[in-house]
Amino acid sequence: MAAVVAVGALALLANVGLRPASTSARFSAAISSPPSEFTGATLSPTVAPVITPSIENRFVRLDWQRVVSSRPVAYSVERTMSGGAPSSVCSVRPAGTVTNDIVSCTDGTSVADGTYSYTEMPYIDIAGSTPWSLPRSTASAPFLVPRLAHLANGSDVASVGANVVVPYPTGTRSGDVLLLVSVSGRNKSPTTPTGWSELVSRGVSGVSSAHLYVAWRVADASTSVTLDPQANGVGASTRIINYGQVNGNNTNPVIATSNIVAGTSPASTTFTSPSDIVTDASNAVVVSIVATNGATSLALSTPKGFAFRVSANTSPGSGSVSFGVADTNVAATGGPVASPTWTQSGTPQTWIHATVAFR
Amino acid sequence: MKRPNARFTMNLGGGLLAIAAMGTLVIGSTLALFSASETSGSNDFAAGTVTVGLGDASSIECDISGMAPGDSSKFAATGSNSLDSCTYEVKYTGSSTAWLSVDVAVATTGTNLYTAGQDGLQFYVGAGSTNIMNGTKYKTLDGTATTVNSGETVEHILIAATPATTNTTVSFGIEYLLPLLAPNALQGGNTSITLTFRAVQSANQPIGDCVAGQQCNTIIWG
Repeated sequence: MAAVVAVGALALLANVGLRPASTSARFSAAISSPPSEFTGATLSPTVAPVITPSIENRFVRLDWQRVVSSRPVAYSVERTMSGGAPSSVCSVRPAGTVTNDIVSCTDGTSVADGTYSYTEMPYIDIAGSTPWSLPRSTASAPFLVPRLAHLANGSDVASVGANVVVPYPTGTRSGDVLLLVSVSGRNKSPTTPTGWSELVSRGVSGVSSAHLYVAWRVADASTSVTLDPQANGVGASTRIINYGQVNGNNTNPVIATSNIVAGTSPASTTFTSPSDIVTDASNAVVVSIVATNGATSLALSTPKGFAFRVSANTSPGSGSVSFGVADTNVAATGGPVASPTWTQSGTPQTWIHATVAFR
Repeated sequence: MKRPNARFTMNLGGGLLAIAAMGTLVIGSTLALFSASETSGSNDFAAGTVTVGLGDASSIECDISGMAPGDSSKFAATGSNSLDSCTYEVKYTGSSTAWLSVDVAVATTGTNLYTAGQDGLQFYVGAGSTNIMNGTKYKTLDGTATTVNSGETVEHILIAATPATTNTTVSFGIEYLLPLLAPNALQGGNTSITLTFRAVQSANQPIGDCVAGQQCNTIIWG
Protein backbone atom coordinates (compact mmCIF):
# COMPACT_ATOMS: atom_id res chain seq x y z
CA MET A 1 0.00 0.00 0.00
CA ALA A 2 2.78 2.42 0.85
CA ALA A 3 4.60 1.62 -2.42
CA VAL A 4 1.52 2.48 -4.51
CA VAL A 5 1.19 5.84 -2.81
CA ALA A 6 4.86 6.61 -3.44
CA VAL A 7 4.59 5.85 -7.16
CA GLY A 8 1.47 8.02 -7.47
CA ALA A 9 3.22 10.91 -5.80
CA LEU A 10 6.18 10.64 -8.16
CA ALA A 11 3.88 10.60 -11.14
CA LEU A 12 2.15 13.71 -9.90
CA LEU A 13 5.46 15.43 -9.40
CA ALA A 14 6.57 14.47 -12.85
CA ASN A 15 3.42 15.91 -14.32
CA VAL A 16 3.77 19.15 -12.50
CA GLY A 17 7.36 19.47 -13.56
CA LEU A 18 6.98 18.62 -17.25
CA ARG A 19 3.61 19.80 -18.42
CA PRO A 20 4.15 23.54 -18.00
CA ALA A 21 7.33 23.41 -20.11
CA SER A 22 5.73 21.60 -23.06
CA THR A 23 2.52 23.59 -23.35
CA SER A 24 3.20 26.95 -21.87
CA ALA A 25 2.50 29.97 -24.03
CA ARG A 26 4.67 32.98 -24.53
CA PHE A 27 3.54 36.48 -25.13
CA SER A 28 3.67 36.83 -28.90
CA ALA A 29 2.23 38.67 -31.85
CA ALA A 30 2.29 38.40 -35.63
CA ILE A 31 1.25 40.35 -38.66
CA SER A 32 1.24 39.27 -42.29
CA SER A 33 1.92 41.25 -45.40
CA PRO A 34 -0.52 41.27 -48.28
CA PRO A 35 0.72 38.81 -50.90
CA SER A 36 2.94 40.29 -53.58
CA GLU A 37 1.80 38.92 -56.91
CA PHE A 38 3.89 38.05 -59.98
CA THR A 39 2.40 37.00 -63.30
CA GLY A 40 4.19 35.91 -66.44
CA ALA A 41 3.56 37.41 -69.84
CA THR A 42 1.17 35.81 -72.28
CA LEU A 43 0.63 35.98 -76.03
CA SER A 44 -2.78 36.80 -77.44
CA PRO A 45 -4.48 35.28 -79.32
CA THR A 46 -3.32 31.94 -78.03
CA VAL A 47 -3.32 30.34 -81.48
CA ALA A 48 -0.82 31.68 -83.99
CA PRO A 49 -2.71 33.26 -86.91
CA VAL A 50 -2.43 31.75 -90.37
CA ILE A 51 -0.45 33.60 -93.06
CA THR A 52 -2.05 34.94 -96.23
CA PRO A 53 0.46 35.23 -99.10
CA SER A 54 0.08 37.63 -102.00
CA ILE A 55 2.29 39.37 -104.55
CA GLU A 56 3.53 42.89 -104.03
CA ASN A 57 6.32 44.62 -105.91
CA ARG A 58 7.56 41.44 -107.60
CA PHE A 59 7.85 39.51 -104.32
CA VAL A 60 5.64 37.42 -102.10
CA ARG A 61 4.07 39.50 -99.39
CA LEU A 62 2.95 37.71 -96.23
CA ASP A 63 0.18 39.03 -94.00
CA TRP A 64 -1.21 37.73 -90.75
CA GLN A 65 -3.05 38.94 -87.71
CA ARG A 66 -0.95 40.60 -85.08
CA VAL A 67 -0.16 38.84 -81.80
CA VAL A 68 0.19 41.03 -78.76
CA SER A 69 1.96 40.70 -75.44
CA SER A 70 3.34 42.89 -72.71
CA ARG A 71 6.60 42.90 -74.67
CA PRO A 72 7.53 43.29 -78.33
CA VAL A 73 6.51 40.25 -80.31
CA ALA A 74 8.64 38.90 -83.12
CA TYR A 75 7.73 36.19 -85.57
CA SER A 76 9.70 33.32 -86.94
CA VAL A 77 8.37 32.81 -90.47
CA GLU A 78 9.10 29.69 -92.43
CA ARG A 79 8.18 28.50 -95.87
CA THR A 80 8.03 25.01 -97.22
CA MET A 81 8.06 23.84 -100.81
CA SER A 82 6.18 20.66 -101.51
CA GLY A 83 8.24 17.84 -100.04
CA GLY A 84 10.98 20.18 -98.92
CA ALA A 85 12.37 21.18 -95.57
CA PRO A 86 11.25 24.41 -93.92
CA SER A 87 13.44 27.43 -94.46
CA SER A 88 13.39 30.71 -92.64
CA VAL A 89 12.15 33.94 -94.19
CA CYS A 90 11.53 37.38 -92.72
CA SER A 91 14.43 37.27 -90.28
CA VAL A 92 13.99 40.86 -89.14
CA ARG A 93 13.21 41.17 -85.42
CA PRO A 94 10.49 42.04 -84.84
CA ALA A 95 9.54 40.86 -88.26
CA GLY A 96 7.96 43.18 -90.75
CA THR A 97 5.64 46.02 -90.03
CA VAL A 98 2.24 46.29 -88.39
CA THR A 99 -0.63 48.23 -89.94
CA ASN A 100 -4.13 48.02 -88.56
CA ASP A 101 -3.15 44.96 -86.53
CA ILE A 102 -1.92 43.16 -89.62
CA VAL A 103 1.72 42.09 -89.63
CA SER A 104 3.46 42.00 -92.99
CA CYS A 105 6.77 40.86 -94.27
CA THR A 106 8.27 40.04 -97.63
CA ASP A 107 9.68 36.74 -98.75
CA GLY A 108 12.61 38.00 -100.73
CA THR A 109 13.82 34.67 -102.07
CA SER A 110 10.77 32.83 -103.33
CA VAL A 111 10.70 32.54 -107.12
CA ALA A 112 8.10 32.51 -109.85
CA ASP A 113 6.52 29.15 -110.60
CA GLY A 114 7.38 27.91 -107.10
CA THR A 115 4.59 26.78 -104.80
CA TYR A 116 5.08 27.52 -101.12
CA SER A 117 3.29 27.12 -97.83
CA TYR A 118 4.05 29.48 -94.98
CA THR A 119 3.91 29.28 -91.20
CA GLU A 120 4.74 31.73 -88.46
CA MET A 121 5.58 31.40 -84.79
CA PRO A 122 5.11 34.45 -82.56
CA TYR A 123 7.52 34.86 -79.70
CA ILE A 124 8.43 37.47 -77.12
CA ASP A 125 11.48 39.17 -78.48
CA ILE A 126 14.06 39.35 -75.70
CA ALA A 127 17.66 38.90 -76.70
CA GLY A 128 19.36 35.95 -75.07
CA SER A 129 16.20 34.50 -73.61
CA THR A 130 14.56 31.16 -74.05
CA PRO A 131 11.78 32.38 -76.36
CA TRP A 132 8.30 32.40 -74.95
CA SER A 133 6.24 31.53 -77.95
CA LEU A 134 3.04 30.07 -79.33
CA PRO A 135 2.97 26.83 -81.26
CA ARG A 136 3.70 27.48 -84.92
CA SER A 137 0.65 28.37 -87.01
CA THR A 138 -0.95 25.93 -89.34
CA ALA A 139 0.39 26.19 -92.88
CA SER A 140 -1.08 28.65 -95.32
CA ALA A 141 -2.79 27.34 -98.40
CA PRO A 142 -0.16 26.44 -101.03
CA PHE A 143 0.71 29.58 -102.93
CA LEU A 144 1.89 29.49 -106.54
CA VAL A 145 4.15 32.42 -107.20
CA PRO A 146 2.98 33.96 -110.48
CA ARG A 147 5.29 34.87 -113.31
CA LEU A 148 3.63 38.20 -113.85
CA ALA A 149 1.72 40.32 -111.35
CA HIS A 150 0.15 43.74 -111.30
CA LEU A 151 2.88 46.16 -110.39
CA ALA A 152 1.68 49.70 -111.04
CA ASN A 153 -0.78 51.93 -112.84
CA GLY A 154 0.77 54.71 -114.87
CA SER A 155 -0.50 58.26 -114.80
CA ASP A 156 -3.73 58.96 -116.65
CA VAL A 157 -3.31 61.18 -119.68
CA ALA A 158 -6.58 62.93 -120.52
CA SER A 159 -6.59 64.77 -123.83
CA VAL A 160 -8.69 65.92 -126.75
CA GLY A 161 -5.65 66.12 -129.00
CA ALA A 162 -3.54 63.76 -131.00
CA ASN A 163 -0.12 62.36 -130.21
CA VAL A 164 -0.35 62.24 -126.46
CA VAL A 165 2.70 61.11 -124.54
CA VAL A 166 1.83 58.32 -122.14
CA PRO A 167 4.47 57.66 -119.46
CA TYR A 168 5.54 54.23 -118.35
CA PRO A 169 4.63 53.54 -114.72
CA THR A 170 7.31 54.18 -112.14
CA GLY A 171 9.38 51.10 -111.46
CA THR A 172 9.06 49.61 -114.91
CA ARG A 173 11.88 47.26 -115.84
CA SER A 174 12.78 45.69 -119.09
CA GLY A 175 10.89 42.45 -119.44
CA ASP A 176 7.69 43.65 -117.78
CA VAL A 177 4.38 43.43 -119.59
CA LEU A 178 2.96 46.88 -120.38
CA LEU A 179 -0.71 47.29 -121.26
CA LEU A 180 -1.64 50.46 -123.07
CA VAL A 181 -5.31 51.19 -122.36
CA SER A 182 -7.07 54.07 -124.06
CA VAL A 183 -10.78 54.92 -123.77
CA SER A 184 -12.11 57.53 -126.13
CA GLY A 185 -15.50 59.17 -126.50
CA ARG A 186 -15.23 58.71 -130.22
CA ASN A 187 -15.61 55.31 -131.81
CA LYS A 188 -12.45 55.24 -133.87
CA SER A 189 -9.45 52.92 -133.66
CA PRO A 190 -6.08 54.46 -132.84
CA THR A 191 -2.97 53.53 -134.75
CA THR A 192 -0.83 51.10 -132.83
CA PRO A 193 2.49 52.67 -131.81
CA THR A 194 5.71 51.14 -133.03
CA GLY A 195 6.90 48.31 -130.83
CA TRP A 196 3.43 47.63 -129.47
CA SER A 197 0.90 44.97 -130.40
CA GLU A 198 -2.78 45.60 -130.54
CA LEU A 199 -4.92 43.30 -128.43
CA VAL A 200 -8.35 44.87 -128.55
CA SER A 201 -9.90 47.75 -130.47
CA ARG A 202 -13.65 47.78 -129.96
CA GLY A 203 -16.22 50.52 -129.80
CA VAL A 204 -19.85 51.54 -129.90
CA SER A 205 -21.50 54.39 -131.75
CA GLY A 206 -24.51 56.53 -131.09
CA VAL A 207 -25.31 58.35 -127.88
CA SER A 208 -22.96 56.04 -125.97
CA SER A 209 -20.18 56.42 -128.48
CA ALA A 210 -16.93 55.11 -127.05
CA HIS A 211 -13.90 53.09 -128.02
CA LEU A 212 -11.65 50.80 -125.97
CA TYR A 213 -8.17 50.28 -127.32
CA VAL A 214 -5.68 47.88 -125.64
CA ALA A 215 -2.14 47.18 -126.84
CA TRP A 216 0.80 45.53 -125.13
CA ARG A 217 4.55 45.14 -125.28
CA VAL A 218 7.43 43.79 -123.31
CA ALA A 219 8.97 46.81 -121.64
CA ASP A 220 12.15 48.19 -123.07
CA ALA A 221 14.32 50.96 -121.82
CA SER A 222 11.89 53.63 -122.95
CA THR A 223 9.97 55.71 -120.45
CA SER A 224 6.91 56.65 -122.49
CA VAL A 225 4.98 56.01 -125.69
CA THR A 226 3.25 58.45 -128.03
CA LEU A 227 -0.30 57.54 -129.08
CA ASP A 228 -2.93 59.28 -131.13
CA PRO A 229 -6.15 58.10 -129.46
CA GLN A 230 -8.24 59.47 -132.32
CA ALA A 231 -10.28 61.46 -129.86
CA ASN A 232 -12.74 64.20 -130.73
CA GLY A 233 -13.98 67.00 -128.48
CA VAL A 234 -15.18 64.48 -125.93
CA GLY A 235 -11.54 63.50 -125.39
CA ALA A 236 -9.75 60.29 -124.40
CA SER A 237 -8.24 58.83 -121.25
CA THR A 238 -5.05 56.81 -121.71
CA ARG A 239 -2.65 55.11 -119.36
CA ILE A 240 -0.17 52.24 -119.14
CA ILE A 241 -0.53 49.40 -116.64
CA ASN A 242 2.51 47.35 -115.69
CA TYR A 243 2.32 43.61 -115.08
CA GLY A 244 5.81 43.16 -113.80
CA GLN A 245 7.97 40.08 -113.81
CA VAL A 246 7.95 38.46 -110.41
CA ASN A 247 11.23 37.59 -108.72
CA GLY A 248 12.89 34.65 -110.41
CA ASN A 249 10.99 35.01 -113.68
CA ASN A 250 13.58 35.41 -116.40
CA THR A 251 11.44 34.23 -119.29
CA ASN A 252 10.19 36.57 -121.97
CA PRO A 253 6.47 37.27 -121.42
CA VAL A 254 4.00 36.00 -123.99
CA ILE A 255 0.27 36.02 -124.55
CA ALA A 256 -1.24 33.03 -122.77
CA THR A 257 -4.43 32.55 -124.73
CA SER A 258 -5.29 31.75 -128.27
CA ASN A 259 -8.58 33.55 -128.04
CA ILE A 260 -8.74 37.02 -126.56
CA VAL A 261 -12.27 37.80 -125.40
CA ALA A 262 -13.68 41.20 -126.34
CA GLY A 263 -17.00 42.78 -127.18
CA THR A 264 -19.72 45.20 -126.26
CA SER A 265 -22.83 44.81 -124.18
CA PRO A 266 -25.98 46.89 -123.78
CA ALA A 267 -26.21 49.40 -121.00
CA SER A 268 -26.95 47.86 -117.63
CA THR A 269 -25.88 48.29 -114.05
CA THR A 270 -23.93 45.04 -114.00
CA PHE A 271 -21.96 43.16 -116.58
CA THR A 272 -20.45 39.71 -116.84
CA SER A 273 -18.60 38.73 -119.97
CA PRO A 274 -20.68 36.17 -121.86
CA SER A 275 -17.47 34.38 -122.84
CA ASP A 276 -14.78 33.12 -120.51
CA ILE A 277 -11.17 33.22 -121.57
CA VAL A 278 -9.22 29.97 -121.80
CA THR A 279 -5.52 30.09 -121.05
CA ASP A 280 -3.09 28.00 -123.04
CA ALA A 281 -0.24 27.97 -120.54
CA SER A 282 0.08 27.45 -116.82
CA ASN A 283 0.61 30.17 -114.26
CA ALA A 284 -0.89 32.92 -116.42
CA VAL A 285 -2.26 36.27 -115.39
CA VAL A 286 -5.72 37.00 -116.77
CA VAL A 287 -6.74 40.65 -117.07
CA SER A 288 -10.32 41.85 -117.33
CA ILE A 289 -10.82 45.35 -118.77
CA VAL A 290 -14.12 47.21 -119.08
CA ALA A 291 -14.93 50.70 -120.35
CA THR A 292 -17.98 52.95 -120.77
CA ASN A 293 -18.83 56.36 -122.11
CA GLY A 294 -19.85 58.16 -118.94
CA ALA A 295 -18.69 59.39 -115.59
CA THR A 296 -19.47 56.10 -113.94
CA SER A 297 -17.54 54.42 -111.20
CA LEU A 298 -16.68 50.86 -112.12
CA ALA A 299 -16.22 48.18 -109.48
CA LEU A 300 -16.28 44.44 -109.06
CA SER A 301 -19.51 43.16 -107.60
CA THR A 302 -18.65 39.45 -107.95
CA PRO A 303 -14.87 39.15 -108.22
CA LYS A 304 -14.62 35.39 -108.79
CA GLY A 305 -11.02 35.52 -107.73
CA PHE A 306 -10.16 38.69 -109.60
CA ALA A 307 -8.38 41.50 -107.77
CA PHE A 308 -9.53 45.01 -108.53
CA ARG A 309 -6.66 47.18 -109.77
CA VAL A 310 -7.96 50.49 -111.05
CA SER A 311 -11.12 52.39 -111.87
CA ALA A 312 -10.98 55.79 -113.44
CA ASN A 313 -13.63 58.10 -114.75
CA THR A 314 -12.49 61.31 -116.31
CA SER A 315 -13.80 64.19 -118.35
CA PRO A 316 -10.95 64.75 -120.77
CA GLY A 317 -13.04 67.02 -123.01
CA SER A 318 -16.71 67.78 -123.36
CA GLY A 319 -17.70 64.33 -122.21
CA SER A 320 -16.68 61.63 -119.80
CA VAL A 321 -15.21 58.14 -120.12
CA SER A 322 -14.41 55.46 -117.60
CA PHE A 323 -12.59 52.18 -117.41
CA GLY A 324 -11.73 49.48 -114.91
CA VAL A 325 -9.09 46.75 -114.66
CA ALA A 326 -8.96 43.59 -112.55
CA ASP A 327 -6.87 40.45 -112.76
CA THR A 328 -6.34 36.98 -111.42
CA ASN A 329 -3.61 34.38 -111.62
CA VAL A 330 -4.52 31.03 -113.10
CA ALA A 331 -2.36 28.06 -112.23
CA ALA A 332 -3.75 25.42 -114.55
CA THR A 333 -4.18 25.63 -118.27
CA GLY A 334 -6.92 24.49 -120.59
CA GLY A 335 -10.07 25.41 -118.71
CA PRO A 336 -12.31 28.46 -118.91
CA VAL A 337 -11.59 31.18 -116.36
CA ALA A 338 -14.82 32.39 -114.81
CA SER A 339 -15.36 36.06 -115.65
CA PRO A 340 -15.98 38.56 -112.87
CA THR A 341 -19.10 40.69 -112.65
CA TRP A 342 -18.60 44.41 -112.96
CA THR A 343 -20.96 47.11 -111.82
CA GLN A 344 -21.26 50.75 -112.75
CA SER A 345 -22.76 53.65 -110.85
CA GLY A 346 -25.16 56.28 -112.18
CA THR A 347 -27.08 56.02 -115.43
CA PRO A 348 -26.03 52.73 -117.05
CA GLN A 349 -23.88 53.02 -120.15
CA THR A 350 -22.97 50.53 -122.84
CA TRP A 351 -20.18 48.20 -121.82
CA ILE A 352 -17.05 47.58 -123.84
CA HIS A 353 -14.96 44.74 -122.51
CA ALA A 354 -11.84 42.71 -123.10
CA THR A 355 -10.15 39.79 -121.33
CA VAL A 356 -6.53 38.99 -122.08
CA ALA A 357 -3.90 36.68 -120.59
CA PHE A 358 -0.10 36.62 -120.31
CA ARG A 359 2.56 34.52 -118.74
CA MET B 1 -36.76 -3.73 30.85
CA LYS B 2 -35.55 -0.45 32.57
CA ARG B 3 -32.93 0.32 29.95
CA PRO B 4 -35.07 2.50 27.71
CA ASN B 5 -35.81 4.84 30.68
CA ALA B 6 -32.18 5.07 31.55
CA ARG B 7 -31.30 6.11 27.91
CA PHE B 8 -33.98 8.78 28.03
CA THR B 9 -32.42 10.20 31.20
CA MET B 10 -29.04 10.43 29.58
CA ASN B 11 -30.47 12.08 26.50
CA LEU B 12 -32.31 14.61 28.60
CA GLY B 13 -29.11 15.54 30.40
CA GLY B 14 -27.23 16.02 27.13
CA GLY B 15 -29.96 18.34 25.77
CA LEU B 16 -29.72 20.63 28.77
CA LEU B 17 -26.00 20.94 28.38
CA ALA B 18 -26.43 21.89 24.73
CA ILE B 19 -28.93 24.60 25.52
CA ALA B 20 -26.60 26.07 28.09
CA ALA B 21 -23.75 26.14 25.60
CA MET B 22 -25.82 27.88 22.96
CA GLY B 23 -26.84 30.53 25.44
CA THR B 24 -23.24 31.23 26.23
CA LEU B 25 -22.33 31.67 22.55
CA VAL B 26 -25.15 34.06 21.76
CA ILE B 27 -24.28 36.26 24.64
CA GLY B 28 -20.55 36.28 23.62
CA SER B 29 -21.07 37.39 19.95
CA THR B 30 -22.68 40.63 20.82
CA LEU B 31 -20.03 41.84 23.18
CA ALA B 32 -17.66 44.79 21.95
CA LEU B 33 -13.86 44.32 22.46
CA PHE B 34 -10.87 46.64 22.21
CA SER B 35 -9.01 46.01 18.83
CA ALA B 36 -6.87 47.61 16.04
CA SER B 37 -5.81 46.83 12.39
CA GLU B 38 -3.54 48.13 9.55
CA THR B 39 -3.70 47.40 5.76
CA SER B 40 -0.57 46.97 3.69
CA GLY B 41 0.15 49.14 0.64
CA SER B 42 -1.25 47.79 -2.70
CA ASN B 43 1.00 45.29 -4.45
CA ASP B 44 0.42 45.78 -8.23
CA PHE B 45 1.29 43.31 -10.92
CA ALA B 46 1.17 44.38 -14.62
CA ALA B 47 2.12 42.20 -17.55
CA GLY B 48 4.41 43.44 -20.28
CA THR B 49 3.13 43.43 -23.85
CA VAL B 50 4.33 41.87 -27.06
CA THR B 51 2.68 43.57 -30.01
CA VAL B 52 3.53 44.36 -33.62
CA GLY B 53 2.17 46.76 -36.19
CA LEU B 54 2.86 48.43 -39.47
CA GLY B 55 5.86 50.66 -39.69
CA ASP B 56 5.87 54.39 -40.12
CA ALA B 57 7.00 54.13 -43.74
CA SER B 58 4.62 52.88 -46.41
CA SER B 59 5.01 49.38 -47.72
CA ILE B 60 5.16 48.67 -51.44
CA GLU B 61 2.95 45.76 -52.31
CA CYS B 62 3.95 44.29 -55.65
CA ASP B 63 1.49 43.31 -58.35
CA ILE B 64 3.76 42.61 -61.27
CA SER B 65 2.04 41.37 -64.41
CA GLY B 66 3.34 40.51 -67.84
CA MET B 67 6.75 39.42 -66.61
CA ALA B 68 9.08 38.12 -69.27
CA PRO B 69 12.45 36.35 -69.06
CA GLY B 70 15.13 38.78 -67.94
CA ASP B 71 12.81 40.98 -65.92
CA SER B 72 14.02 41.95 -62.48
CA SER B 73 13.47 44.51 -59.77
CA LYS B 74 15.62 47.56 -59.29
CA PHE B 75 18.11 46.07 -56.89
CA ALA B 76 18.26 42.51 -58.09
CA ALA B 77 21.77 41.35 -58.89
CA THR B 78 21.04 40.80 -62.58
CA GLY B 79 18.27 41.26 -65.12
CA SER B 80 16.55 44.35 -66.36
CA ASN B 81 16.44 46.08 -62.95
CA SER B 82 13.48 47.94 -64.34
CA LEU B 83 10.64 46.87 -62.07
CA ASP B 84 9.63 48.09 -58.64
CA SER B 85 11.04 46.42 -55.58
CA CYS B 86 8.56 45.30 -52.94
CA THR B 87 8.86 46.40 -49.31
CA TYR B 88 7.08 45.48 -46.13
CA GLU B 89 7.51 47.98 -43.31
CA VAL B 90 6.69 46.79 -39.79
CA LYS B 91 7.41 47.79 -36.22
CA TYR B 92 7.68 46.04 -32.90
CA THR B 93 5.42 47.97 -30.53
CA GLY B 94 5.37 45.86 -27.38
CA SER B 95 6.74 46.95 -24.02
CA SER B 96 8.63 43.73 -23.35
CA THR B 97 11.79 42.90 -25.17
CA ALA B 98 11.19 40.35 -27.90
CA TRP B 99 12.71 38.08 -30.47
CA LEU B 100 11.67 38.88 -34.04
CA SER B 101 11.31 36.46 -36.90
CA VAL B 102 9.65 36.16 -40.27
CA ASP B 103 7.76 33.40 -42.06
CA VAL B 104 8.00 33.16 -45.84
CA ALA B 105 5.20 31.60 -47.89
CA VAL B 106 5.44 31.17 -51.68
CA ALA B 107 2.27 30.02 -53.43
CA THR B 108 0.50 29.80 -56.77
CA THR B 109 -2.98 29.27 -58.10
CA GLY B 110 -2.03 27.76 -61.45
CA THR B 111 1.07 27.46 -63.56
CA ASN B 112 3.85 28.35 -61.20
CA LEU B 113 6.25 31.09 -62.16
CA TYR B 114 8.35 29.92 -59.22
CA THR B 115 9.90 26.53 -59.97
CA ALA B 116 12.09 26.26 -56.86
CA GLY B 117 14.96 25.99 -59.33
CA GLN B 118 17.29 28.26 -61.23
CA ASP B 119 14.98 28.62 -64.21
CA GLY B 120 12.02 30.03 -62.32
CA LEU B 121 11.27 33.22 -60.45
CA GLN B 122 13.92 34.08 -57.87
CA PHE B 123 13.21 35.93 -54.63
CA TYR B 124 15.79 37.85 -52.64
CA VAL B 125 14.25 38.70 -49.27
CA GLY B 126 16.14 40.63 -46.64
CA ALA B 127 15.68 42.71 -43.52
CA GLY B 128 18.47 45.21 -43.33
CA SER B 129 21.70 43.22 -43.42
CA THR B 130 19.95 39.95 -42.64
CA ASN B 131 19.32 37.67 -45.60
CA ILE B 132 16.06 35.80 -45.34
CA MET B 133 15.78 34.13 -48.74
CA ASN B 134 18.35 34.01 -51.50
CA GLY B 135 16.86 33.03 -54.85
CA THR B 136 15.10 29.84 -53.85
CA LYS B 137 16.92 29.03 -50.60
CA TYR B 138 16.67 29.78 -46.92
CA LYS B 139 18.93 28.58 -44.10
CA THR B 140 17.91 26.09 -41.46
CA LEU B 141 18.99 26.26 -37.84
CA ASP B 142 22.35 24.68 -38.61
CA GLY B 143 22.96 26.98 -41.58
CA THR B 144 22.08 24.50 -44.31
CA ALA B 145 20.77 26.18 -47.46
CA THR B 146 17.39 24.60 -48.13
CA THR B 147 14.89 25.06 -50.94
CA VAL B 148 11.73 27.01 -50.31
CA ASN B 149 8.98 24.90 -51.83
CA SER B 150 5.87 26.49 -53.24
CA GLY B 151 2.82 25.83 -51.12
CA GLU B 152 4.81 25.51 -47.91
CA THR B 153 5.59 28.12 -45.28
CA VAL B 154 9.12 28.48 -44.03
CA GLU B 155 8.72 29.57 -40.43
CA HIS B 156 10.70 31.52 -37.91
CA ILE B 157 13.73 32.88 -39.67
CA LEU B 158 15.36 34.98 -36.99
CA ILE B 159 15.78 38.62 -37.87
CA ALA B 160 18.30 39.62 -35.18
CA ALA B 161 20.24 37.87 -32.44
CA THR B 162 19.54 40.63 -29.96
CA PRO B 163 16.08 41.26 -28.53
CA ALA B 164 14.04 44.05 -30.01
CA THR B 165 12.79 46.87 -27.88
CA THR B 166 9.76 49.06 -28.23
CA ASN B 167 9.46 50.81 -31.60
CA THR B 168 12.12 48.73 -33.28
CA THR B 169 11.35 49.00 -36.99
CA VAL B 170 12.00 46.30 -39.54
CA SER B 171 12.03 46.95 -43.27
CA PHE B 172 11.73 43.84 -45.40
CA GLY B 173 12.85 44.14 -48.98
CA ILE B 174 11.81 41.73 -51.72
CA GLU B 175 13.87 41.77 -54.90
CA TYR B 176 13.06 39.35 -57.70
CA LEU B 177 14.34 38.08 -61.01
CA LEU B 178 12.85 35.99 -63.78
CA PRO B 179 15.94 34.49 -65.43
CA LEU B 180 16.52 34.62 -69.17
CA LEU B 181 16.48 30.85 -69.21
CA ALA B 182 12.92 30.69 -67.88
CA PRO B 183 11.24 28.09 -70.09
CA ASN B 184 8.29 28.69 -72.39
CA ALA B 185 6.13 26.59 -70.08
CA LEU B 186 6.16 29.41 -67.52
CA GLN B 187 4.28 31.67 -69.91
CA GLY B 188 1.27 33.08 -68.04
CA GLY B 189 2.38 31.53 -64.75
CA ASN B 190 1.78 33.23 -61.44
CA THR B 191 3.31 33.24 -57.98
CA SER B 192 2.77 35.12 -54.76
CA ILE B 193 4.98 35.64 -51.76
CA THR B 194 3.73 36.54 -48.30
CA LEU B 195 5.77 37.51 -45.25
CA THR B 196 4.55 37.05 -41.68
CA PHE B 197 6.35 39.15 -39.09
CA ARG B 198 6.48 37.55 -35.67
CA ALA B 199 7.52 38.69 -32.19
CA VAL B 200 7.75 36.69 -28.98
CA GLN B 201 8.91 37.62 -25.52
CA SER B 202 12.62 37.22 -25.04
CA ALA B 203 12.40 37.14 -21.26
CA ASN B 204 12.86 33.67 -19.81
CA GLN B 205 13.55 32.39 -23.27
CA PRO B 206 17.24 32.21 -24.13
CA ILE B 207 18.04 32.27 -27.81
CA GLY B 208 20.33 29.29 -27.64
CA ASP B 209 22.02 28.44 -30.94
CA CYS B 210 19.80 30.60 -33.12
CA VAL B 211 21.54 32.89 -35.60
CA ALA B 212 20.08 35.82 -37.49
CA GLY B 213 19.11 34.86 -41.01
CA GLN B 214 18.54 31.24 -40.10
CA GLN B 215 15.54 29.31 -38.99
CA CYS B 216 15.10 29.43 -35.20
CA ASN B 217 12.87 26.67 -33.95
CA THR B 218 14.45 26.14 -30.53
CA ILE B 219 12.42 28.80 -28.85
CA ILE B 220 8.68 28.96 -28.46
CA TRP B 221 7.14 31.54 -30.82
CA GLY B 222 3.82 31.70 -28.99
